[in-house]
Amino acid sequence: MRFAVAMAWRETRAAWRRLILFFACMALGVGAMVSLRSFTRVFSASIVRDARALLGGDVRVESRQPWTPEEQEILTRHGGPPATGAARMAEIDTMVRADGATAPRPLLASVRGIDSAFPLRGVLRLSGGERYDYRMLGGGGVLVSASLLERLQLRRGERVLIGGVPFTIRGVMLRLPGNSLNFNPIPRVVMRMDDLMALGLTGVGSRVSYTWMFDAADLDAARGLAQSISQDYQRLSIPGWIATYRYTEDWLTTALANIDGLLSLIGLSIVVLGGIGIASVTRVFIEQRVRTIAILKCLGGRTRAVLGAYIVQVIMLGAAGGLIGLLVAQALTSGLAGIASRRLPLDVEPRLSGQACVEGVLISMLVSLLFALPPLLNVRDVKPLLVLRHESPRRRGVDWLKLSAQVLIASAIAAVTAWQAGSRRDAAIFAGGIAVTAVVLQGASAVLIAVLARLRNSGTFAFRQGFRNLYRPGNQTRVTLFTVGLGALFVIAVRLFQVNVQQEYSLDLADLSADMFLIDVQPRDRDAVAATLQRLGARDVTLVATSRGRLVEIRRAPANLETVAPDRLGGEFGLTSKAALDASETIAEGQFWPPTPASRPEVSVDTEYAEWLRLTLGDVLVFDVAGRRVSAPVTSVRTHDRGLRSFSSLVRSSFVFTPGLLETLPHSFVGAAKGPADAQARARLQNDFVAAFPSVTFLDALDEIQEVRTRVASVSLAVSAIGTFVLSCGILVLLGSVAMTRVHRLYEAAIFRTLGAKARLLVRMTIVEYGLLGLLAGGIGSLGSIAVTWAASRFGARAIPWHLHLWINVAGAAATAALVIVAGVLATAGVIRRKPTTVLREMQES
Amino acid sequence: MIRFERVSRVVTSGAEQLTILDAVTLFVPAGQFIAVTGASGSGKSTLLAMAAGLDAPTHGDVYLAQQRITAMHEDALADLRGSLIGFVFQSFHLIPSLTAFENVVVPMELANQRDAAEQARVLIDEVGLSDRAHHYPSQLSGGEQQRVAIARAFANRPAILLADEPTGNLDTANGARIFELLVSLNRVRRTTLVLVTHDRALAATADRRVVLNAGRIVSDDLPS
Repeated sequence: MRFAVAMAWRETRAAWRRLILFFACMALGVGAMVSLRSFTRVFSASIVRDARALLGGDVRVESRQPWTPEEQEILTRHGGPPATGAARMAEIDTMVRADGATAPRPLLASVRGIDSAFPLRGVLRLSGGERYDYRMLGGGGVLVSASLLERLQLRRGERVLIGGVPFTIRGVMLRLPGNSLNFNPIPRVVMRMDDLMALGLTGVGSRVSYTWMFDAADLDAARGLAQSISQDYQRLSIPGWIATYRYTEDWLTTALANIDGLLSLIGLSIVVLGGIGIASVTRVFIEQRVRTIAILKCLGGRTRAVLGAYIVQVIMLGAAGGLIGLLVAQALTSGLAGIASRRLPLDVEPRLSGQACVEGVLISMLVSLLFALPPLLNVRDVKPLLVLRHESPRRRGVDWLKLSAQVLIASAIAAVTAWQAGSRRDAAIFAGGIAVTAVVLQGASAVLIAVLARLRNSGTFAFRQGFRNLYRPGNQTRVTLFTVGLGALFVIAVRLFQVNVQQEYSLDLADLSADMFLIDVQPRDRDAVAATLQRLGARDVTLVATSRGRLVEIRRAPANLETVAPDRLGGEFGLTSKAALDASETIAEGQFWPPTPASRPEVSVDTEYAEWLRLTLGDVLVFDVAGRRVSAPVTSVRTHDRGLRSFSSLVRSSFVFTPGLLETLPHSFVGAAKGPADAQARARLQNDFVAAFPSVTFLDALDEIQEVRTRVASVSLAVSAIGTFVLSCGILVLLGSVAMTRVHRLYEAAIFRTLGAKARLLVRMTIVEYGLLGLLAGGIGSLGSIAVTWAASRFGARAIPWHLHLWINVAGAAATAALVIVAGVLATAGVIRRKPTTVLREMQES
Repeated sequence: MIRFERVSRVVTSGAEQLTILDAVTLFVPAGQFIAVTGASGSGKSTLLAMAAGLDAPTHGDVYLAQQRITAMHEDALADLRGSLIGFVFQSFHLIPSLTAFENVVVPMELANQRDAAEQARVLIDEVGLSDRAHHYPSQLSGGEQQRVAIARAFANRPAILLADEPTGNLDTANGARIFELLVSLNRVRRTTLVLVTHDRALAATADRRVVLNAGRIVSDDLPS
């Protein structure tokens, strides 16, 4: 062992520059894995730390209806001990516009009314280091998000109009506690509670949430408080959502735990690619060490002792690569934490998880050892006689030890995958996916190489020689094609996906039958709203009645013997009534009513709810709408195509009644219209409309499209980053393969130069070789990306139309080729620059 | 000490069979200094390789210290080399990634010798390279490299020293000094020395001279 450790250290000391690729392969993989894993863990820790600030208190009671006197009494009573404090707030999504004649389009914002006790937990953080004080909200003051200022082109001290009432911007919020599980990046406005209530936005059908928050001494006290309020609510049948901060904490940490395994697997796959690079580097290293190994054997070194020295060296290098990877991980985590802290109401610390670091370094050592083992086993074949006579190592027949090593690699990777994924099933799917991808890409590489082999005797001298280099002894063409091809596949596929989504959202604004949507239109305003929209230039105005009601009873048809648990009743649902189906809806069962239905009420139910409530045609549903009962038989069951964005997806209701029924009950209207295409006309229409009807919420499809684009861009950025890591691993493998054939290249270049070849010709040959390699890899990546994006758009959770964008594939393949040429030529430059006589003399001496 | 019994080595080159050694029988007693000479391709180096167990005969047997090594396992041969044989090569064959000192200490580390470092320092001192001990082979002259190789060859106090053209890559003056060092150390340590050389003058200093031609011993000048 002493010899092994000493020898490993001496070899590393002497060759560390040549082993940089080894470090780089592992550092890249471990960096990706540890940062992804650390991020989810540090994020979870931040959630646990800030859960109270997220909830806005220790206990939160939320309702969709204004507080009734009974509720007020219960909540006020619970504000005393064991609670140590209480605060109230109400929140509504409504239109906010700039006060001015040439204002940009109004903006949908979340407006929150608070009392002086808010926030019970956390800090309302303002820009410029300003301290929040409730008095800032006095005299019509508001605090707003920075995004609102930017989009409405306003500055601090200027005014916004909300519900037609002017408010002065007194500060810009960086962090607002009490968002609970709502991480929607919608702009936010904070005002006094009584100011919000005076706006007149909180009528029937408006989407207001009323929240009461309590402080408690500890979790037990918080739980006791929540339980006590819950019992009072149940006793008086008051609907409401009651939770302690532990609920938010659990919900978010569980959600993170679900993606933790996936992120770990992505990181692990990069480590495995790094492992392929290590196999290449080790093969080169052992090839360069053949003479040293022969000398050691000559001096009495047993194969086991010599092999042991190199195994110890690989483990040392794996550990060192892992440690360098931790530095990469720290840099990545700092970036991720910065993005998360800017976008979410949390301070995510940019630190690495200790456990992830230990796991990363251990996995680095393990993967290094596993992937280095097959080339290391070549040590056995080195004969000590080499010191006296040049002799090619004898080839073994079936090398059982090497085969066993390969089985060991596969088993160990599967075991590590299962460990990292936390689920054998996920691990099996992941490992299977990698195996299938590897087989497909390797197969594609083999076919391409075989097909192109026919061309190796055609073209110019530089072309023929460059081409033949792909087939040189010890070439790593297939491994390089696999790794670089996989990286190219990732990057090109992401770009294709992005362009397809963007294309869909740029096209269908014109194709949409409606692109402006209205919520909270009060019955008294119905006709005026329709007339105003038409006067301002909107077309195809539609308004349908909507309400909310509790399902209190199901009177089943005699043939329906199904029953459901009692807790499935009593829930509150959105209800609408309309005369015709939307384009995205189809009837699965029964018949939708004719354009002029009979006076008898009917209800059409969404498939999901029909199944959940075990409904059949003929069952009668009884709803309680603001204390009034309404019943109707189920006459049809509808399905909704989520892939088609339409009116119904924005104002969707699971229960649709025949026209006229809801109009007899407390209700409001939702509307749709086709707005002008011109941006200025569109802004003018919206500003004028919101000025005329300040309590109506106006949604523009443009905002939804913008939001989807932003999300797609964020996801694309994340996947592109992963793709870049994969591509980098591919380039490292490429550099490893160049290093592997360096001796052959040196010799050939020297011979060619001796025979009269100029450096320029050698460069041309190199460009041909790497250009072909890059084009093949880019071609494989391009073809793979077409297959992957087609499958994702066809079978993915959200179907989007798929289009072939050949220019992306061609540009992707060309960019891959350019990258490979640059990497290959730079790596080979040293070979071309060496003087032929020096090279030949050195080779003679060795 | 070393015994060859009708040892032949035949290699196949394409369709042709090439006999490198042809039924060689030779006995080298302990402590003898024997010089093996002959033209290029006469089989000198192969004879040396056979004596060290680096190459196996096609026919016949080789014995080292009364042990038949012909069918020995590679690891057993490595043990035997480590304990019994020292090498000096024409091209020095130092390990380029190790310093002079480390090159000398390696055989002793392989043999798990306890005072390896101390012994290595003594040997380096004996060959006059104390001030160059921490230099790498690439930083040493040819003569210095061969001194390191000689120090390494004596590292495990071998009973047999095999030297393959030890002065072949050196100029005359350096070659003479190296040969003198080799012979003097050999005398002090009383090892059996097998010297393969083209140099008749060097061969003349040996106790016994064997001449090979086309794989056969054509002359064996046994001491009286």
